[in-house]
Amino acid sequence: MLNTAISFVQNHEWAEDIAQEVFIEIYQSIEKFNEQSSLGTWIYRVTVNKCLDGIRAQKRQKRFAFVTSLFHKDTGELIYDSSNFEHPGILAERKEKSKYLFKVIEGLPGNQKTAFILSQIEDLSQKEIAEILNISTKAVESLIQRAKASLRLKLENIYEGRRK
Amino acid sequence: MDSRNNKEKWVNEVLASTEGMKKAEANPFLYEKIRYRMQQKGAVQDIPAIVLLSKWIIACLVILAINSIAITTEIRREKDKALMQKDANVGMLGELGNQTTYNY
Repeated sequence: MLNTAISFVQNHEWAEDIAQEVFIEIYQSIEKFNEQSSLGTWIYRVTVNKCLDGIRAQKRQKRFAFVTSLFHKDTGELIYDSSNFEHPGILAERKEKSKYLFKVIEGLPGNQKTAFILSQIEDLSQKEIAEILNISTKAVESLIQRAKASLRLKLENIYEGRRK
Repeated sequence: MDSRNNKEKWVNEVLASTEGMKKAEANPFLYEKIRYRMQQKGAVQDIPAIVLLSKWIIACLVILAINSIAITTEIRREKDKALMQKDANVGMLGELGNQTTYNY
């Protein structure tokens, strides 16, 4: 759950907050769980929804904030700066390249982002992802393909930009 | 051609950068925070249903009582007003009856 949240929000602290929220929601709603899906699927679904809600809320705040501080008032560190995000689980030799990947993942639409993260990072099967998102496996396949195509294009642009 | 191959290679390497990754580990204090929040939430939810129901019933009774008092007060006021009007009319009739009529 924490791993999924980190991949979505690209911030360890924020991901821990989300993990707490998910635990509380599961704890409070466990009686309503009707076992139509597995418990793991349900937990993933709640986690994904919390992450996407949080990201939307952050975008709304940014849209309406005319003057806002980019820095924590106590530590002076950037608030939720994901441009240089390093996932703690990435192998050391791949950390530099993974920063570019997470940067472009951030720009994907919600459903493509979800499908890509659950497939490539969480290593779930298309069937499992389809259950979580409540869509067909064909739809999942299409989302992953579109996500990869979009990421490839953005990465190519970044490569061109770096060369100049 | 070479630069295109390099570009492709770089893009593929970036896309494959998550291979072999491990799951992120949680801060040990995270579980303590979660346990604390769950205990707090549990305390709120431990209020028995009967207590909540009683509060609702009392609230409804109070509202009914206030409405009853308001309605009976209004009815009494209307009655008093009607009585006063009746007395006034009787008084007027009496006054008119006592008047001496002069036939010129």
